[in-house]
Amino acid sequence: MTALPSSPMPDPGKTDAMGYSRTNWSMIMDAASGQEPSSNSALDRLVQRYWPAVFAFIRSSGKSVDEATDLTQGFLCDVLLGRNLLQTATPERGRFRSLLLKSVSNYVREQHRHATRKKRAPIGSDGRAMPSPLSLDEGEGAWAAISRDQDPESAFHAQWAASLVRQVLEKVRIDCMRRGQEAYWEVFARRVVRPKLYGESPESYEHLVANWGILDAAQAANMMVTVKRRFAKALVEEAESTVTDALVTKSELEDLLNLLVHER
Amino acid sequence: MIPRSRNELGTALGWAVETESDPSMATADWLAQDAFPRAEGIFALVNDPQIPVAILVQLKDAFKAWRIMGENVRDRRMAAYCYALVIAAGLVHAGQRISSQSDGALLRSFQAIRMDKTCSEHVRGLVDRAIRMLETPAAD
Repeated sequence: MTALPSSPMPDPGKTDAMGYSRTNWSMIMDAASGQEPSSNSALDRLVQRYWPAVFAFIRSSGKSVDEATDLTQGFLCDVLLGRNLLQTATPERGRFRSLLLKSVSNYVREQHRHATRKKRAPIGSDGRAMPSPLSLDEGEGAWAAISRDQDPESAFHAQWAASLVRQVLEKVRIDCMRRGQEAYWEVFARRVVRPKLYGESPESYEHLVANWGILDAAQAANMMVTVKRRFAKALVEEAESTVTDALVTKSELEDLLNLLVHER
Repeated sequence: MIPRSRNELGTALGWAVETESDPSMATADWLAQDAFPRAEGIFALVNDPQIPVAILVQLKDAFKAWRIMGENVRDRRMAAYCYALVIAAGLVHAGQRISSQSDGALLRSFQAIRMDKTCSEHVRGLVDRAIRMLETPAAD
């Protein structure tokens, strides 16, 4: 594969409304190119994005926390870096989610066959340092909250969706701060995110209006839906970044939704 | 932060799917659900005879603000449409006028909804009743 040169400046045609890279495939190809320093940065983002799903698959295969952590690290070193999984990933092959799932499934089977117990250092087989250490607490916490008691494939999909939601929430939060709309974010977080995603009670509009310098409840409600729409749009764009085209994007979101709803 | 369950993850993904098909309609439904969490959406809410007047007043104000804050023409039209619907619901379900607009202005709004071929029978029935109430002088 020919390494793609990385562009030093963002291309407006390839960025979303918030200025983020529109296509994850370019990030994957960038990471696969091996060119420093953009390669390490792209790899870092890829690992951050996908390791919870890999961890969940392995943990749900019956491995202990320590074994799952070790195997996740091993998969990222041996397959993602060592066997150049990224270089076999092309937009023509469809969803990166499917490729990753197949690869980790094969890896776990292979490891089981060979009963490998080798302790790995966090160094890739090509000598490149692993970009980010895995957070054990976060991995186990996320797995326990969403993927416990699930078969490995369901656990993988659930963590994939969780990573997607988590990352998009963070993007939208940063975007609101950049626009000087901290109050918009706070209304959305306190009325929607915390109640709907984390089970907390929604904060009253009376309280929000008093604390965030908002005109009235009607304005606060509109601030809430404005950010909710941004979040929904960013979620679509983020899902789009892991598939080949916009036609697949909707089915990717609906597919994830069906996986979450029907496998409960 | 970690979402607590797959159900909650599904909720967030559902928002994205809803906005993909019709962002303005999704926003109207979100405002309705925010005001009255049991409501499935704006149309179900305005057709619920048990809906408290205070909720209708809160929603009327939210849609009034959305008429100005809406991102585009379609948003602002949807806001005006929903604004008229909650006023009609106040008249029909509670016998209360929750707007200071003139009879003529309200009748024009209701009749515009009545003429909308895409509107459901339930919604048409609601505005029909509201029109009749406005056209019938109140008995002393």
